Amino acid sequence: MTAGPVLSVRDLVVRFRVHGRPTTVVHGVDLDISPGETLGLVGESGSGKTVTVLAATGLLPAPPVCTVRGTVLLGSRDLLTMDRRTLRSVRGREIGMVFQDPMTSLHPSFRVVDQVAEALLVHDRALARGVACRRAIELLEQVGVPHPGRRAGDYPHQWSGGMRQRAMIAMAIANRPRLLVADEPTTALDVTIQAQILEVLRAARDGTGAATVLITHDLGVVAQLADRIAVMSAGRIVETGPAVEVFAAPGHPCTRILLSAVPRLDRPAAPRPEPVRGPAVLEVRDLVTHYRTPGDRTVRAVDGVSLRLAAGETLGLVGESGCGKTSLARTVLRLVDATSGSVLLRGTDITQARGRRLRVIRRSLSMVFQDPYSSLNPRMTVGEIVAQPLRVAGRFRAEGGARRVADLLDLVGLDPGLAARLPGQFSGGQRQRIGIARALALSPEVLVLDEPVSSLDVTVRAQVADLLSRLQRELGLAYLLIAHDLALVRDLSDRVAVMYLGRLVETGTRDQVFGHPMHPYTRSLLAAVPVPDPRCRYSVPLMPTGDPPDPADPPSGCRFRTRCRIATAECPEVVPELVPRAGGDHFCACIHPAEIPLRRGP
Amino acid sequence: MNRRYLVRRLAQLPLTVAAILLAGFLLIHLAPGDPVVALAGQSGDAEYYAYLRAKFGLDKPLPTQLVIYAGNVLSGDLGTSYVLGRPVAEAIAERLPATVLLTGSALVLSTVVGISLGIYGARRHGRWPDTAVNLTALTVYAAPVFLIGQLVILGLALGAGWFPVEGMTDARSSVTGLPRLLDIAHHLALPALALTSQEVAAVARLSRVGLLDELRQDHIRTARAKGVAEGVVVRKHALRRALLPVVTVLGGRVGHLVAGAVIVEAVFGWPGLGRLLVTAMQNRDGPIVLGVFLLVAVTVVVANLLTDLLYSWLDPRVRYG
Amino acid sequence: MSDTAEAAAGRLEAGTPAPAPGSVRRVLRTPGGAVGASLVLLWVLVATLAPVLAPTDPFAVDGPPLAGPSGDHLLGTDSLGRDLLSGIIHGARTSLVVAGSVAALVAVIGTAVGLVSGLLGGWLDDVLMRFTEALQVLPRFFLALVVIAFFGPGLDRLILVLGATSWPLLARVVRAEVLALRHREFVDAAVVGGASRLRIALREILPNAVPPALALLGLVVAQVILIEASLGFLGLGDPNVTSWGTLASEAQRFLRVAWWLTVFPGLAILLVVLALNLLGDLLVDALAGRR
Repeated sequence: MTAGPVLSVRDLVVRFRVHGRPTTVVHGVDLDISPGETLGLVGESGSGKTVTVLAATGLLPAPPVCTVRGTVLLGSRDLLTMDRRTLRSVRGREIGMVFQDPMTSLHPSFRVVDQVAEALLVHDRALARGVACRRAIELLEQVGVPHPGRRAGDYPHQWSGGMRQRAMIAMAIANRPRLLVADEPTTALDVTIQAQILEVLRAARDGTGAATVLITHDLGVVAQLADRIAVMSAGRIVETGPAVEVFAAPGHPCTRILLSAVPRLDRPAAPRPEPVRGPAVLEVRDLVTHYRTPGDRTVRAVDGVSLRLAAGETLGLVGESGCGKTSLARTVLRLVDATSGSVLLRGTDITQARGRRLRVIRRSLSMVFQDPYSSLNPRMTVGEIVAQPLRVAGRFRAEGGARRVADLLDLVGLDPGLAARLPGQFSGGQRQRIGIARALALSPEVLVLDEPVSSLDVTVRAQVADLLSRLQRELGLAYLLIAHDLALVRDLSDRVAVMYLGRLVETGTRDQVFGHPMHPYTRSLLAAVPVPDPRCRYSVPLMPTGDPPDPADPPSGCRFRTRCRIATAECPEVVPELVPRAGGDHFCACIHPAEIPLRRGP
Repeated sequence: MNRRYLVRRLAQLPLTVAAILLAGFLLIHLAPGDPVVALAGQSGDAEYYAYLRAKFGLDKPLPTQLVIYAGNVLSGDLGTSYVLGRPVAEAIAERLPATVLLTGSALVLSTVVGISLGIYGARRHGRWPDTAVNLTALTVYAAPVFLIGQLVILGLALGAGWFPVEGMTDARSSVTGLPRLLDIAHHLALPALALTSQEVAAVARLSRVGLLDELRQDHIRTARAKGVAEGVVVRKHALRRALLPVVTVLGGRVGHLVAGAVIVEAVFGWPGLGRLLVTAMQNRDGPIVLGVFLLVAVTVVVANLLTDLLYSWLDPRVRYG
Repeated sequence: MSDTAEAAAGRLEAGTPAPAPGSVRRVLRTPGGAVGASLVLLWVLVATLAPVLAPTDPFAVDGPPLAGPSGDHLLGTDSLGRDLLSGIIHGARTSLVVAGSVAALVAVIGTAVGLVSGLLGGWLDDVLMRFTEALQVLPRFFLALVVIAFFGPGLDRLILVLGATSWPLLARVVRAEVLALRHREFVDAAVVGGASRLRIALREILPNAVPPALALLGLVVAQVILIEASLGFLGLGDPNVTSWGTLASEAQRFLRVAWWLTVFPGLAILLVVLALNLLGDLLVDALAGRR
């Protein structure tokens, strides 16, 4: 291997033609990656980090659309002036690439094994097909796909996102490349799967000795792997340095913004006012929601959940995607019907209510939705959207008509003068405020917040979270908060419930659950949240293993046992009940609750 | 769409055929005007009318006629032509080869040429060859078939004199073997060109858009990043799914081609089913019209079914859905 | 005759539901959209003002037979000495009447079937969709041919048969939109807000489900015009009105001596169909959320 850098980018300029007008997206980027080094290329979306790497490897569209200038030396050869044949022999053989979205990055009509084998066959004409397939299965085994030989006939749509991303990594390292490029490899994945994939990437890098470029907007992710950091903003590199130094003393404002956007579970939580132990406004008892799939299977989305929400408090509900938390919320709101169990609103069961009575009950229960784009009717003005619940309830006049709408908009920090506009003219943050105003129109007591900030820009998230806190204080609202961002849940919640495969596994105050997690699932969930500090990387023994099981066919006994690192022979036999531990109001459903508190931070 | 869908489509087939049969039968028999009068003229005597009625089974009640007709159709008997006085099946069988030759060659030609043009345009996206292909296709697609036929005759037959104006063979020649085949091919060229051009345009547009969409997909970037050659990326990775929109309309295209054939046969005097149909309509020859309609409808229904099967083969997500 | 319309319906069904308003205005600003819209507008204007614009009555013998284009007869005359330009101008009227009436029928039937099917679901949806699929498979041109052949030529029955058989694509798209819209969060928000099913159907779903289907109407109508012209060409046009297809049919006999008789009516059809396809395609793409 040469002593110089593996990849050396000099004065890279990329121009796109957008609607006939040329726009420069990368303005003269210089980068060096030494052998064996891992470079973290970080920046907000649109900062040009992905374009930089695609331009360097010749994967951008052809000239009229897009022009690239500069030099990109791989060893001593310039990738930008190389003829197409040579460039093709470099791609996949000397440079391996992993892309963002594993759901779309594999060809849907070819078997996964064949796609991995193709990476080998393309660069070795002499290789027999059967040999390549066997080697592909070995590679899949190496990146942690369970029993790849048995799944040789599978197509990508039969695999989970995590497994597909493993297949992408297997493809990228198939020819032991000198350079491994991973472009937002975990952005589309759950935090637990993200932790697994980052471990696979680390092992892949260590196994091949490849120099690695990890592109991401998440400084928590980059801290897990990178030796050196380059921060990009608006098409330029604004800061570079060893990872430890950049994290300890970020120099550029952009770096500081990126750093502040990372959820910090290692820092103290935001203070909450003393929890009021008022009467329960909402009580969920043994709630069960099952769905029938088209294949006539029963998905046990919610499978016996009990919850209690007091007036003025926030209950945070956390868990991986597919654990049933959204189904639970939709059942509470009667958007889907419960299979059994009850939902009591101020003591009245609402699961059986119909027609007019249901509509009256619904007034004290409302919801803020995840997607600010899909949650507002594009053909109604903002004023109509906010007024709709009032009109439906026949209280538009009584509540003051247009004045009430103006007050609501004012309450959420929007100019009431904008009521005549259509939602299309507002930003994501503003739209989410409109959604909140609509939810407040009938002065509800309980608000269900389903991922209320996850679709928003990082900078806007904090503002909307602050607004929600303020409204709760001023109006005495009770929140049922569903979010995958554990730091947000910690900051906004009084109590927390952890859900896994349709069941609650742990509940308690936020200090109990976050400070002294007892269930192995809670512990692995918390451990999987990356800390943006290179000195504080994942602790492997806490990682959950594998994918969540199929909710239509959950494991017997404890449902988490298939991924649990401390499972014993008893676990498949006994269904663990939520029982109080230590503090009395800290409940955990595990026969081996951990006694040792989870350690975070250096 | 999944297996159950396909099974359902198969089960639907006889139902659709029955519906077609019923629709056609009712249409013809509820139409104003009496075929017997059309056949024998206004002044025929009542006895002759009754004789004709009995001969063609028209004296029985409508439901009985329908049952008899359906039974006959299932056993391959499409009835007897009022005008030609011979079995409908025979008359159709005589004309069928010419139409199959015409539509078949147009189908093959439009698929091959259309897809090639689509690939040609998509791989030069945004540059002038792409624009030229796209605009030409758009224009040709909007042109009525008879206009193309007439222009082709004006230009290549009457103008340049390279091809015959009409017919399927040179009437005077009685040659057989290869020279006869060449003679037919010479006569076929212009009608096939006229019939296929609109289809070429449609297929070219669909495959161009399909390929452009597909080349933008993430998995194409993955293939390129693996080092797969560009030609292989297009042929192996992109084309398979890019042609799904082309496959989707395959059933419809068969119907379109047969309809176009009726026009083209009129323009070029091609002795196929279209001519038979138009003549039969002028003579109010119900059995022939119904027979041709039935044949076309069943062909289109079967073509649609095959399209669905082909679709599920191209997209495993459908197969395992 | 529905290749691109069928593919466009597929794109609409797969596209994002509830596109933001304003897509139509953006389409009209593109070169293709502007050309398409202008031609359609021109067609409508000529058709409406036909008696004023046409130099003579289309049936009046006004000059020597088979005279080529000249100052007297800009587009020449036919075998009876009738002015071709007047024929084409009045033909525009016929095509507009047929296209407009079929469009209205198709819009009403297609929207109604799609809405009922999508909103109510269950066995009614099953029955309606099986019927729609079966109807879609039937070759429309042949159906029209058979009807005209047996009931005699006439615009009324042509409109009825084409209107009654051209709606399946629209119904499919409306239904797909309704099904997709039902899972949109703003519909959930209306349910949570206590809105009744009727209110949700009329206020939330209908206004968002119909525009994409209407974009498809342009493509469907283009096919209708081609069918009308083809029937006219086969001599099955309404004898009481002038139609482009009938004009072209006459041209067939005089191909050797009077090229103008075939070129000009054909060109008129081509331009209108081209304009409708161009506009329809762009609108479909815009409303499928692709631009």
